[in-house]
Amino acid sequence: MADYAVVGKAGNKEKTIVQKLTGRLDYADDRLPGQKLVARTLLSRYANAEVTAINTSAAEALPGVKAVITYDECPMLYKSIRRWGQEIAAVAAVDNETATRALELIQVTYQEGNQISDVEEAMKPGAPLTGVWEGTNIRTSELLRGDVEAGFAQADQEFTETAGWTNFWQHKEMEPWSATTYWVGDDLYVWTTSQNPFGQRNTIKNTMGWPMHKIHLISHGSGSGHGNKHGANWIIIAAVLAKKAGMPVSYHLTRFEQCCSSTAHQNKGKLEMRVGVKNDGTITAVEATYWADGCSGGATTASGMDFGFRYTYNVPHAKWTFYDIATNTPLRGAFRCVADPPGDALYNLVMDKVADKLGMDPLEFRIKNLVAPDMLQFESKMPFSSMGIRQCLEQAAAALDWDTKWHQPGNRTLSDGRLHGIGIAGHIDSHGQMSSPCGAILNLTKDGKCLIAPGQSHNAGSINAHCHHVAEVLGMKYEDVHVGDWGHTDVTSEGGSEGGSTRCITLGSAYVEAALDARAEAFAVAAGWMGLTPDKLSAGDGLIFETANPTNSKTWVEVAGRFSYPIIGKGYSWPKKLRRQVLNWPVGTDCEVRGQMAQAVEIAVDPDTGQIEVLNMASAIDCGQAIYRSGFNKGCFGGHEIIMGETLMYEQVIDYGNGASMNPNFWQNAHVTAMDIHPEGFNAIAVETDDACGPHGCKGVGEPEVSALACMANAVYNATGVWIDSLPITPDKVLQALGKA
Amino acid sequence: MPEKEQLTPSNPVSRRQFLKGAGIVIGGTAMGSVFLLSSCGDGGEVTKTVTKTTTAPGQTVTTTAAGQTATTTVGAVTKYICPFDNQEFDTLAALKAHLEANHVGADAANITTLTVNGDTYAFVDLKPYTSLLYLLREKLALFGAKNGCNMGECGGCTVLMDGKPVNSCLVLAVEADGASIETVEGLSDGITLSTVQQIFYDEDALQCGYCAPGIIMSATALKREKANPTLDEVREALSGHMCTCGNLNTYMAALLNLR
Ligand code: FES
Ligand code: FES
Repeated sequence: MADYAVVGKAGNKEKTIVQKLTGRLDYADDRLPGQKLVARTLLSRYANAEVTAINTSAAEALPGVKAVITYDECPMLYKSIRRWGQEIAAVAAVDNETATRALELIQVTYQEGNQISDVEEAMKPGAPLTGVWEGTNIRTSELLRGDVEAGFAQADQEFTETAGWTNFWQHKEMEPWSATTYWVGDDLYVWTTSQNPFGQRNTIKNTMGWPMHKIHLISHGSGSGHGNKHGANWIIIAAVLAKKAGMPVSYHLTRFEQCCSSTAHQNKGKLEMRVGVKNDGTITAVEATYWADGCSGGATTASGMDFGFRYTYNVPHAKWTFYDIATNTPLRGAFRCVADPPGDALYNLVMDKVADKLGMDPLEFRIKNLVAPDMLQFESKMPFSSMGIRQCLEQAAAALDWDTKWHQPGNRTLSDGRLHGIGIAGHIDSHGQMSSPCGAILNLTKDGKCLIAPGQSHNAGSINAHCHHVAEVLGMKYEDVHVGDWGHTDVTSEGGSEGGSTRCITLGSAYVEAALDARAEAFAVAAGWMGLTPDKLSAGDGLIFETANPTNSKTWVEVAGRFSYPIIGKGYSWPKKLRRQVLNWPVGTDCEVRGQMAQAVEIAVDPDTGQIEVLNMASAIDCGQAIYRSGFNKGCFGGHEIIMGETLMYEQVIDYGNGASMNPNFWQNAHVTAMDIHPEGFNAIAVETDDACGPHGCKGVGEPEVSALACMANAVYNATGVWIDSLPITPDKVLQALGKA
Repeated sequence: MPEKEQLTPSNPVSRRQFLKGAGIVIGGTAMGSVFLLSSCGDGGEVTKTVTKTTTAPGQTVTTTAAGQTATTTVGAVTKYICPFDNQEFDTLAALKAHLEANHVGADAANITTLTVNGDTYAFVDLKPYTSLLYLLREKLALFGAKNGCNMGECGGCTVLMDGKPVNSCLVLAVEADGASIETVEGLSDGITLSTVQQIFYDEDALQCGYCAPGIIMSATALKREKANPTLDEVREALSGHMCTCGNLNTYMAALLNLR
């Protein structure tokens, strides 16, 4: 492993931490105090309907109402309704109360259709159509590998196991969708919450036809966002209202609006898997069927749910069948990915069920069947740029003392009468890779510092990672690399989507290039002064020095003082290719860059109440190389909390009778609080495999941190000896499984 | 980090105070809208700011242009200034009497005064449904308190009211009459951090930061009561806060000095 001066060093701080701590970082709604109208949307009361008439005149006449728009004026408002809570009209008024009152005055006439919000009903033969797809509720696809029946013929035993349904949950990000907009002539100014400012500008342009260069979009602070802040629906509604009203408009969604409109509900999934194994635990073949609720957006995510299994296990013969089912439920979308969390939960449960039938330790069963680092991925035929899945499993297990603590299911009781359980799950994730091209720009200042200008919002860690990459290349101290402006489409470079855990590696690589570009110019200045050629120079620890004679040096401050023109560095992201040889694969080989992870959890189950207490958790993530180390830790620990919520609490309850969301808020949709947490029981382990593609050997870690949901279900089985394979695992399910309810 | 601004005889008004006055908007009445502010600086200086707004209901905007905002320095006293004719009064009662006698339509009975981060403000004709959160954010431009849910579920809007944490989205502004409010902006000048801010800084304990101002206020109340709280006390103090980045454990560990 390379020895870095800045990269991966503990103690480096988040770049806007003081602004955040003092309440001075501006989020979307923190603008134009008192000068903005408030937008509210009228949401459908039916889950499947056509609006036949709408009358907004009473709303328009209400004092304080400045604009009312419907589907006739805004493509983000709808006449054909396919989900309960779909947006029909919007109002901008002087305050929230007036806008809310105005919504009540809008008269809508609906023609009701058949709604089906229960996925099992929608997939029944002959079920009425949900209206999401033409003529069908179900779409099917298949994937084949090798010769499945030949594979099963090699097996000594065969098991057919099921898992699911996983839970439908809403994203519940702390800051809802929010945008403040106003117009000056035909120039639109937008402050928004975001995971992709440039993508949002694109969407606005494509949807509305407004010229791209006249859309000035800024996203500075963004309050949490694990996949739900890529769109522009809320911005467009605010902008259309602002145009009509001739005044600034803020659309900061209520929790109710957020629950109805949000694209990010994690969808429900189910799996049935036939597994052929030899007596020693080697898997010879699988035949898997996945079902996924495609919701009212008609998402086809079933075919992504197999990803982790296909990449993680060495199974030469397999067949996957995928069913996506359209229902009249709220839109599904990414919450730490679209398909990985439910998919990984499902097959990791099946792995434990098969290990249990074989009488094997589930950790040993997993390790026995892992793909090997010298294998090409079956479908893409590409090598992996790094492979740490085995270390992840071993280190997560070791952190919780797996060898001592794992026991046969249901046979360890703690002294207080509660049942002890331990579980593990892990996989190669679809995320963390080099994604579509993006660009980076930075400025060297005349006082010897560097300002980067990334085209992304300040959501969490990756902007700080870019500062590490840049400081390492320039040989500056971390403290001397700053974030200038960011997330501003007029002045930053296109930074791509903060999705797929790709920024640290993709935009990070562009920042390495930008730093090299600027360094070359600075070296030319220094070389001229020092009487050397630039190729004789290196940089480190705030100095530019002669490589062969490091005592012959100038500080960055001294060199920058000699810049006769501003030095700007620019760079583009790297392709997904090996940048050093891996085994026999040469530099330049197309490769798979994949985050990898394992998570172990130790719990106590109260057999009288069904309550589950999480005692210890450990994540081991193959991140290639941790760049911003405290960001890595916070992300892993955050993953622990999110996994606790996803597996034990979160569920968006839908009334199948009318498709309504029954808990469209925070308090009825239980969230992890401080009362649930043992902070001393959280363990984060960076497995550093020095990736052969990523800048400074890194891979992305965001999504890999949170998708080992099955560890909790597996621990519950280990504790109780009964499977609860539908999420969330609530106390009532535990009691029912124990025969007590 | 914002540069520190010195208060000097030639610069008696801090930029912070000035901006605060400049950004103020009032939800109006048919007659007119009024914002009154009298602010005591330390060192015996007093800043008074008067801001008038136009008369359209609800969305009038005050700017500093054309002399609409006047800022002067007087002795160490608080002055209440009539927004309509700029006459000064030493007491709120005197101003009310003046409003009643001279300005028909200004509801002199409906004056809400509150102290925010040490500055005293008086508002005329606040709507009965205006929340403290709305008032802080939209009338005083104090955007630290966040509107995460506007219904008492997330803790993002937490401020201290007479030293106790409250969800400012659930407190009506008129209920806060006479109260002393502390927001995250009041804890620090942006250079010297408060105890809790410093703890979180040292541990680099934030992710997106949206929940942080509220959590900092609850933790501040806790630490003032107890310098070394136990795990259960920290749990209880933060129990009304959500953090969807999954960062509660990091805040807790920092407050308990665990990592
Ligand atoms: S905004 Fe007040 S508790 Fe959420
Ligand atoms: S740090 Fe993002 S919501 Fe708490």
